[in-house]
Amino acid sequence: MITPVIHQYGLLSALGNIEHTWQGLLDKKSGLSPLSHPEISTWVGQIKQLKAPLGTAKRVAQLIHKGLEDLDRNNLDSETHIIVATTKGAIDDLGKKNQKLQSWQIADYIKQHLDLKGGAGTTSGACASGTIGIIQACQKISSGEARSVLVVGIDILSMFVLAGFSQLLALAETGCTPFDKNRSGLSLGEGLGYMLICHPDLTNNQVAQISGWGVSGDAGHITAPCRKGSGLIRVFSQITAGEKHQVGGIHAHGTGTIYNDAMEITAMNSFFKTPPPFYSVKGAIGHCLGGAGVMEGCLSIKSLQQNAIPATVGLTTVAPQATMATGEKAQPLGHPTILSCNSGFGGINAGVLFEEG
Amino acid sequence: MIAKITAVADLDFTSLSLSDELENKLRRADLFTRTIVACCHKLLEGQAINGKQTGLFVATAFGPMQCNLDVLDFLVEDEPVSPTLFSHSVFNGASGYLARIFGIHGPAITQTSYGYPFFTALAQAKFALEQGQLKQAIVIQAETYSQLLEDAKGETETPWPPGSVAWLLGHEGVEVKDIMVQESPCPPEERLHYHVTCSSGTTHHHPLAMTLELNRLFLAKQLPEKYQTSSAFGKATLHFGAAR
Repeated sequence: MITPVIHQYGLLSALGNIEHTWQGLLDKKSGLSPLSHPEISTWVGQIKQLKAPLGTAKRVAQLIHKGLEDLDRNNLDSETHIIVATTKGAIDDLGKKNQKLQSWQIADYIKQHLDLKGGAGTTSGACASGTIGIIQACQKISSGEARSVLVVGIDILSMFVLAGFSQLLALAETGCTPFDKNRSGLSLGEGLGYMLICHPDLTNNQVAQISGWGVSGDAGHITAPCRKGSGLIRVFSQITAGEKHQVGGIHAHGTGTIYNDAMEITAMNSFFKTPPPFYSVKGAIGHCLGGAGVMEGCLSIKSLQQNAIPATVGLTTVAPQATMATGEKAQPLGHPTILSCNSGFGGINAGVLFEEG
Repeated sequence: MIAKITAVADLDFTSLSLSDELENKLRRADLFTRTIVACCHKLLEGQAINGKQTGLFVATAFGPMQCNLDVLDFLVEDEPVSPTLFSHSVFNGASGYLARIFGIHGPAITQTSYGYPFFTALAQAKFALEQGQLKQAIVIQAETYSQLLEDAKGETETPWPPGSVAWLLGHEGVEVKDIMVQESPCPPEERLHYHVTCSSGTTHHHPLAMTLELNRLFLAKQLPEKYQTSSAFGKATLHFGAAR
């Protein structure tokens, strides 16, 4: 079995690019700020450089251009495939004349923007889209279908999604507090993450490798996760493959909602004899939906390189049973691997294990 | 394990009827979800599946587009958005229903593209079976479009009939040997025309048409060993084992 490797990675979030975001996490900074809206009282992880209105094709295009600025195109094979992970695209523009950058159009746009000739497609697994995109890239490389795949996870803030989560009563009134005893909901964010995943023969400059992955459905509720964490436990089981792979830390989904975080805590405590240290980035940059998996994967690579699990920004009183959640300060990894996982609507769960290259 | 087409089903919009039990489970679902569940139900009649080792690979060009437009209507009217509509507007919502109703615990993911989403989903399912990650996979495409899309397309174009096609992959049936999909950006002037030329000699005019044709060929035991397509938005080549 071929082990796919990562050659390049990067992101743009409310805290800035990958370096600024990582440093912000180590400094326990939050990029969340109050949303300026008369009826929705919440905080969001808004990228200040994006000037176009929320939910529009212009904003998606701005995010693509700024988010991919750091990508070294000289080291990009023209036959590189593109997988885009997104949930909504320019959803507030849907139905308008000459609508652009809807979810099924973003992959083509990026392909043209980067002047690539390989295949391009979009995957949607709700909030697990980004992680599923990484898994699909690994499968393409393992099967020989592609030599290199650029995975781009992207979502912008939109009134569509803000109004929807507001009506689901899922939004925190201030910044979200993942794994906190008093957590009260999620904070939405926006961002782009990219990861160039290659066949190991294609690069001598790998930054990490992907040693395992898993996807599983709860087969339960459409919006709520399985309370026993059954789907996520199966993901852990697939990834560790019967103790073949050790997990040194977990970049958890950690949305800050009561049910998601409880589910993750249950799954970790059920599966691991001693759960590894885990954290969530969403108190710092918000929940970036389809972009989350790739962005969090990029931060997981940083964790490997720096041997650190950052503190969970926003976490002050650790929830019962979440004893290994990082709150005060960064902790070292227990082993040079980190598992990044996400869960989403439809009961989907997905995870990827990153390992030092 | 070699991936083989074990069973197929298709459903057009006019034959969308649900049992009382399914109606009850889908009482809040949108048309996209109802179509996809009804087609999957038809596919699985008489089939034994092991839910823990089965995956769902949903394919769609436009997903629950009308549902998304309905949510936007609430926003335009400055009214509170329906939480139910919002949760169904997510592309992966329908696969969540499939997983719940049919007890499927494997991956449940949705592939979206304008050109060949079914072929891409089929390739993913094939890989998962060949790697031994799954014993069975359901690959299903559904399109329900929207009135707005029909209006934009214009009256002179061939209608885009809503419907669904589902394939069950397993270890018995016709082998799926190889799949190559290469999609490319669709020129603006070609958008909404959807002209695809196939090696069967047919020209197709809507995103579900090719999948329906392959389905009919399978049922008639005439699935070709090589099936090719070309269009303004890319090309695809599929190789199958001998039809039985």
